[in-house]
Amino acid sequence: MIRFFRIYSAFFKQQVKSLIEYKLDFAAGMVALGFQQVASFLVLFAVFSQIQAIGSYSFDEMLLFFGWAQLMKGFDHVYNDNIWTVGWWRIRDGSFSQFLIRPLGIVSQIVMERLQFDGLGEFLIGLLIFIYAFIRTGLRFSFGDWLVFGYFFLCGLVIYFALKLLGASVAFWTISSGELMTVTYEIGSFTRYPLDMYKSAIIRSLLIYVLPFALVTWVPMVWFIREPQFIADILGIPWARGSALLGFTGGLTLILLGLSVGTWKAGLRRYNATGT
Amino acid sequence: MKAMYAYRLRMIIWIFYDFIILFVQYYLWNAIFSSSGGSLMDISLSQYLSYVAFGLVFSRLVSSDIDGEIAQEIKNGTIAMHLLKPYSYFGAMTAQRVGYTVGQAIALIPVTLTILFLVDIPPLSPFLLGATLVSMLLTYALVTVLQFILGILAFWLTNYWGLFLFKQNIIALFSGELIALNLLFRLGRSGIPNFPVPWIPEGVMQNIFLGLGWISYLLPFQAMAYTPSGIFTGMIQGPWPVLGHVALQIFWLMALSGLASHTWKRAQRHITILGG
Repeated sequence: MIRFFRIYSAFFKQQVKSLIEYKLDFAAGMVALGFQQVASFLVLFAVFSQIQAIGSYSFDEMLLFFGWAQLMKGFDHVYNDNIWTVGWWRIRDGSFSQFLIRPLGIVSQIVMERLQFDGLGEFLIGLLIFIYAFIRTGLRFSFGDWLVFGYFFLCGLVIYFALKLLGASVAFWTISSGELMTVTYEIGSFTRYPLDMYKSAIIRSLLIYVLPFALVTWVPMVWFIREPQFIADILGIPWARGSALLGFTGGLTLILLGLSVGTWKAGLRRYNATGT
Repeated sequence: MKAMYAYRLRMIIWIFYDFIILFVQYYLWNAIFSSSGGSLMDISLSQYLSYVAFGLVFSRLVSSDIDGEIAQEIKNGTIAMHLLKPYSYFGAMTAQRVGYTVGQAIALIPVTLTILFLVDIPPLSPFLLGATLVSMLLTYALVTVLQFILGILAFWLTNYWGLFLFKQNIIALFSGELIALNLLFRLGRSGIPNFPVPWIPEGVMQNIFLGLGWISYLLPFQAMAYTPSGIFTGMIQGPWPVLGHVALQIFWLMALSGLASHTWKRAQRHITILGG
């Protein structure tokens, strides 16, 4: 673990150097991503200029989901962006093999090889919106609330991580899985809006069980602003109230992580065997 | 076409994704409109839904990835092979794009059929139907020329990914894909009955929306998305506005074609001097 962080910090220094070298690329990426969020924010604003609430959610509550979703996505984007290269081309052009010959875990190498500073823009805008919405909705957190909050934050990061790893693993069989990863990732952006807006059992189940982005964005926020019964009803799981909901979230997160690590390992064996 | 169906998995993923987008948008706008009593700024739910749904189909139909392909060929030098042969590079790329579109059209059949069940088809006079078709053809030509220009830009740009992101996000906002352009003007002109962010003066927000509307009309992107689906679904009303929008498309087509041939000439000089 200590060794991991020592090497990581060495990589980190190199990253910052290249960042200083290519200021313009960095700025372009940040502006582009920031622009995307300003645009979706304007749409939200436009809609709320005509109505008081969508369903049961006020504008400030919607911002809470919106900000949180961006914050999570941005955080993941910064530290865990390199895995995309496996899905897109590293298997196809064979450059994946370089990870196999180094004396360090493959996933660790992929994570530390590149930090994506473009995601900082997403993260910061998300953080600002979140803090604003947090104040406006009058939320007050006790120590216990902060613990739950941190727990959801971790679960969310793990879900993102696991979904991307799973998507990239598919490339071991199909040579390239960039499209699959893109689609998975894009579906995540639908959870910027509360889950109960989608009055369809299929879409809800998809976002809870298959690509559990609802657990990344909706559950953590709605936990603090609605009654447990309300959440359980929307989820369609009567027992998932209070600490049971925490258990449910963590359980699903672990299952997904196990599944994705398993697939990754199976893929690696296949890659080693054929050498392609 | 054959090249396209070689990637059947890819196609299935995209079809699945289109379905998800369609249903998510359907439920989202349903929730929004039902919170506002069925209509938003004099636009009815069924009209907006058909705008969103057909906008999705139209944008898929005209989309392609020749910009990425040209950029790729420039980066790895294969473009030189094209220049040696006795045909126009632009022509070759267009032919390739038409093949891609045929495949795309086939892939769009399931989503389109679903849309026909899901939303009301706007009543169409022969004039409007004709205008939509002409406008679609112009859109197709416009997108082709724009992508050609963007692809050639790879001669001078190092961060093509940044440009790609930038393109996507700017086009999403200014083409009417995220929010119909007539809504921007209505928001700017009518008072804002419900003001979600109390500390921004109402006038400032109105001017932002008006400004966005005007910028959209100063940029070519609205001619590539808003015009055909706007005419088809009656967001652009009356014979003169319809003809005006089509005329604007023709203007942009000429302007961009001029720009394309100019950039191409300069790019060719670039290749000859540097040898690729």
